[in-house]
Amino acid sequence: MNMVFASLKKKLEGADGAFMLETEVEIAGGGITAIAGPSGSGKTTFLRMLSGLTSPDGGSLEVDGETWFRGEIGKTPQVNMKPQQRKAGVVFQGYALFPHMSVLGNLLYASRDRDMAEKLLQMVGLRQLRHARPANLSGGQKQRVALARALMQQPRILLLDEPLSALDERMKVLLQDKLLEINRDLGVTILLVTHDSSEMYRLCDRVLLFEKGRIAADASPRKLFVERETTQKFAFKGEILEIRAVDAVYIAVVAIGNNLVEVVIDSDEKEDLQAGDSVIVGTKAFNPTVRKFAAKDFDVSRL
Amino acid sequence: MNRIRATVAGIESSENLHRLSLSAGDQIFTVITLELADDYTVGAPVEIRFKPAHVALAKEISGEISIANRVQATVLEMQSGKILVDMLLESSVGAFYALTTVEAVKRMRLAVGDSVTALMKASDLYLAKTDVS
Repeated sequence: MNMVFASLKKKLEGADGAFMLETEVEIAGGGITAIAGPSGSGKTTFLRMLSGLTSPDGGSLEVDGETWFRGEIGKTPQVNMKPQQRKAGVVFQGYALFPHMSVLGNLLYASRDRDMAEKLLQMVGLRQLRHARPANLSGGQKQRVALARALMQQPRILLLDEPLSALDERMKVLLQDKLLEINRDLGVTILLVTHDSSEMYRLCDRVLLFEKGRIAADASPRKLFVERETTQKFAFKGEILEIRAVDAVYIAVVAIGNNLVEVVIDSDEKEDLQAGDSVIVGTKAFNPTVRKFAAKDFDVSRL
Repeated sequence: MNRIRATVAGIESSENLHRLSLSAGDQIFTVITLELADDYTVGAPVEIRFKPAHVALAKEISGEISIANRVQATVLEMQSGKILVDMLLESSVGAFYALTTVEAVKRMRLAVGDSVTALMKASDLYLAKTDVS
């Protein structure tokens, strides 16, 4: 089993001034780890330091017992492997395919292993399109080519920076299944930058939550998302838009994401709540009903 | 939100579904819940929480009823709207609110000072750790 050990430091320029990106993390081989957190928290830089595209200021990086980087701040690094020497596959949100090459050509450019290319094209479901040019492919197909190409050199780790964020829901789910398959069949360790909680839940066994250059939380998706303060399982963060008195109770209008809901609250709850407050709206898992979305229902994603 | 301080007295589990017995004063409460965090163990201090709308009231109750939680209480206050009545009840496990209808209050001839039985379904109660506000 391979394993990533990354103790890395790098000074970054943020919107509110410079801050230090500092990671001290061990990732066991074979899993899928989500890298989450707000923009500018250091997620992409972390992936770039693993792939060799960005040099850390100092620290050490070991993958599978092999040192990829070792250096002290302010000195020339003792070890700093070039990106092409590192067994790391990289896929970013932009596809970065060679437009003048066919799908197969793009794969063979990474490595001249024809059998491997055929196997990977089969795996991502693109064998029929092996001679197509990238310009004639859909976004989902291009991203699958990029994924297959990243796997051509049989990397130890696969680094994915929001690879699915530009795709529609159906294509996203299809590619999530492909990632699970790749992870299972090739045993490659995957690090995935994502903001999508259902993606983390479906794919990842661990979430590293970056905040201002530090790993602020390190837990399984289930631990991170399922509300822990109470036994309520149906809990959402929202904002109170208004509270009004109706009969012997109060009704709070709460915005949860793009949805507006009305909640009956009692005088005791109303005491310390007012419009503008951030709140958690919760109920027990026994109470909500679930039915299929119907054409007559209003879909807030249209907004 | 009503809150009653209690201690976990027992946990019975079937996969991730749990039935908890909780003791509060002379009263044993039952709560049914999914997935429990590790720190809900026997002996742990917790708060039982429930909405006033999830409290049913009975007067001179007799016969069998499936609702697990029954608390003897006295009506302390009644705040009446046109349709709903917010009632403050006093019991051996503390004061809590019950929300009922004006129609029910009339039919039951409920008044301040009356003795009632408050009924709460085990699936309507939830638990919070006591350090949570």
